[in-house]
Amino acid sequence: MIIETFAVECSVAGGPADGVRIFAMDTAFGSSRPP
Amino acid sequence: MLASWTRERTSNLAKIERGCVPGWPLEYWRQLGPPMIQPSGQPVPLPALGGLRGPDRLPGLETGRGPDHAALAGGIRQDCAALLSYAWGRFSTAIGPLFADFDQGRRAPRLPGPPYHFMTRVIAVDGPLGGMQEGSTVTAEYDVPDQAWCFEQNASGAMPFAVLMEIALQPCGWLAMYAGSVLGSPADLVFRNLDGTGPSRVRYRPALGPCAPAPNCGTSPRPAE
Repeated sequence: MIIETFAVECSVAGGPADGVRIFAMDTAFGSSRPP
Repeated sequence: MLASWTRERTSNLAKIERGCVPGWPLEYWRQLGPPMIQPSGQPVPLPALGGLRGPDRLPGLETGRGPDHAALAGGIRQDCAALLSYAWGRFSTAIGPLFADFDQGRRAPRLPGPPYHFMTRVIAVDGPLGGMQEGSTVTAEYDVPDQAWCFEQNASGAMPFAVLMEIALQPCGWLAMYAGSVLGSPADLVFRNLDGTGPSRVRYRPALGPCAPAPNCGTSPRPAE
């Protein structure tokens, strides 16, 4: 049984740079219960 | 493994030639199902975790989120089947033909497979596929089961911090692939998580259900383990 759903939002906050494929990622959490 | 059998006319000897060809376990396991969730520390055979027959949702789940709830990326709906392809299948069945080169034996970063797979669906994506564009965003969901190895194996019964972290990091890996981080590179690339911060304000335990980040939701003020 599913008790909850986590929602995650990720965004590319920076990069790539200097020939190295570095990404900065921002993430945020939210959640909801099944109806 | 591909094997061919030839018979030489002169010597009448059988000759077997062997060669390696790409293969993906999900091509076989997807015929099984419905998929299981590993409930404890006792390993469940991977084919049972990777079955894709049956409903999009796992048995008994009433999340109200059907297959159409998942977003399209590369022409492919980013549901359970597509996300398992990032772990055990062809990249072209995960994110579309733009990544078909990686079906020919080239290596690229993959999501972990179950039981360490913590993405159920992608519900929104913003930004060009393969565009390497700053500001690209993904929203992913993970349906938390009430019985899973990560609760059973933790003495406190709480979701381990390592799992919380994966729930956040796996969509980041998905987004890096979607943005095209591996496209155009002559070398096979891998991911390395360099740094980050992640405060945890509540311990998440299935018996408690949802908890707001407030002091009176039945949790200890200690961070999650």
